[in-house]
Amino acid sequence: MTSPLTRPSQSVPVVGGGPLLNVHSLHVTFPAGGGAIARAVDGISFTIAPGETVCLVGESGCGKSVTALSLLRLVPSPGRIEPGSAIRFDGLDLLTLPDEKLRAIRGNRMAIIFQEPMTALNPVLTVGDQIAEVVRVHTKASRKEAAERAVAMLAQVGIADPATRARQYPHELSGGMRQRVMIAMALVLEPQLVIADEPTTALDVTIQAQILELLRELRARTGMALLLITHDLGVVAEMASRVIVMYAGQVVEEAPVQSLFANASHPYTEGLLAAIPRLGADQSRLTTIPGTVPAPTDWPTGCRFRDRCAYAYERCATEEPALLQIGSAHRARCHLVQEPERRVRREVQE
Amino acid sequence: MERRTVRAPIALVLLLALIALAAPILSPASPIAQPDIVAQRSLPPSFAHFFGTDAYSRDVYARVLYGARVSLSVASLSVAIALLLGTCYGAVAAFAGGAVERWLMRILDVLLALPRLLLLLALSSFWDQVPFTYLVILLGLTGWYGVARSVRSEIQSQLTREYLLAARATGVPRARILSRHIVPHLIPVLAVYASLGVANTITLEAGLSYLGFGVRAPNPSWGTIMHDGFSVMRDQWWLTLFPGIAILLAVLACNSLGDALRDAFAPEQVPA
Repeated sequence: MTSPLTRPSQSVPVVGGGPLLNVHSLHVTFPAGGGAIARAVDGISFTIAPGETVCLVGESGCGKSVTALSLLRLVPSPGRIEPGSAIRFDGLDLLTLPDEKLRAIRGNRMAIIFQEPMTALNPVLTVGDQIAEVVRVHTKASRKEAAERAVAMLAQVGIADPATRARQYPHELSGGMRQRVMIAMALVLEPQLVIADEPTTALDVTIQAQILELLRELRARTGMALLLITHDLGVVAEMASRVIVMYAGQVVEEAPVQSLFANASHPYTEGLLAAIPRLGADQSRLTTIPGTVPAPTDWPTGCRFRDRCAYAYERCATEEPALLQIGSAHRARCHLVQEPERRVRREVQE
Repeated sequence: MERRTVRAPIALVLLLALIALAAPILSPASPIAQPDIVAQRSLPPSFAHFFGTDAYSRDVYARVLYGARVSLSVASLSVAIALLLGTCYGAVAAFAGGAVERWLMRILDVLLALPRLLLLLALSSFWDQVPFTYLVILLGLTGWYGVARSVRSEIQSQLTREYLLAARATGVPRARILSRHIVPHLIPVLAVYASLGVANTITLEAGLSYLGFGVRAPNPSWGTIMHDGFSVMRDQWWLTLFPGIAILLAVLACNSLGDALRDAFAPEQVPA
């Protein structure tokens, strides 16, 4: 990797030509019983440039995690990626790649950090073994070399006395340390892209900050691209160069981070920003977005957010908004982009 | 694993196995020799014959010691067969899923509904006295259903674990996921099954032999010895008491090992 390791600038950084990851029109469905089909991810497109940090934001059930899993073709059965979807990674078409070739990419060139370090580590194997396994599977390293790399990696993720820790089992480590182990597992082979699925959600606030700091540091050191999935806009502000906001299986807004915070254009994004509690603000109650995400078996016609939207008008019920260009790198899926004069608040009935 | 709780039962089981192996050293008498069928028949326990003699003047102490070899090897060999069959069947069901799994489990339900003892008695009637090998096979063939069930449900619960997804996400090949990530979780299930199964099979074999369907005489199993003494239990109590105590001890040892293993493994199955 040759990308400069300072924080990427506002515009989409393009290093050596095309994007590292290009997801086009990704559809993932799950049979939901009674013949119904849940369209969990419903036509998502985005790109990630080498070395870039992109945050994927949205509330529970909007399809963030399924998107993450489909990038490595790990969607749990009976879910499936629909034909017509395309995922290109460094020039390779991941959806048509033979299993063996895909396996060579997993953990080696693209890796995932899971949300729950408690359940994502095997309780009967030492943490050192689990990190070394990644090395053994992808390289010709001997057992001893792999073990040494595991210990070195544990040191890199800030674990004191790594040689001792490597011989311990997951239950002997604290939550924060386990997440460091997960990160070590994902990064030991220096992948070009790391997907972190809510890596700090299961942790204490103080530990959260440390883990984010660690990710930022490792990203700077290795030049990896990072797709960070989160519902925490605080994390976004701290980490992202670009943000993708998902709602009901679709991208509803996409923008460089400053642009998003300064000029959120989709009412859902606006709602997310308004819902961040602020110290000293004159609020007696926390702001929330009324209602919940509709069921993926039955997305509403027109705009999927209209039932919860303070600005919804007739057009929103009949016509599905397209992802409309606002600035050079800023897009939002809302009719208000075309008709800003309709931005009139009304009461949303819960 | 808390080792102390397992230590005593393991020692007891090993002791029994050792006694079975060392039978020729511990007993100078032969279990099948009939030294004097007139003068030495049906003697009560004494210093010459610790457990007395039977109607053919055979030394009961020797027969009980050698009987340990037969009873324990029948039980452990047949349990080994049962573990192998049950693990394969359960694993195939769990990995196949769908219709195959449903049918395999339905077949298992039918097999479980057959009373094992009656089935064994019916099958034993093909022989006058069941030869050792066939007895082992019969016990093994009728003993694996429970293993299959437990193995299937354990694998099934493993398959949904996030660490398997994590292993796949790091590119670990299927075979390695199976051997390194799933099989270790089966060991507690199998270890508990092995010890409880051996205990269960010892009593079953004793029951069969006692009913006259067991191991062919003169090689005695504990059940055979009891069978010989059954008709004269009131006068010659030593013929049934000593093999009975042997069975009791062996079953107790294996059962307590099974319980101890279950307790010892329990915390590992639910990660802290």
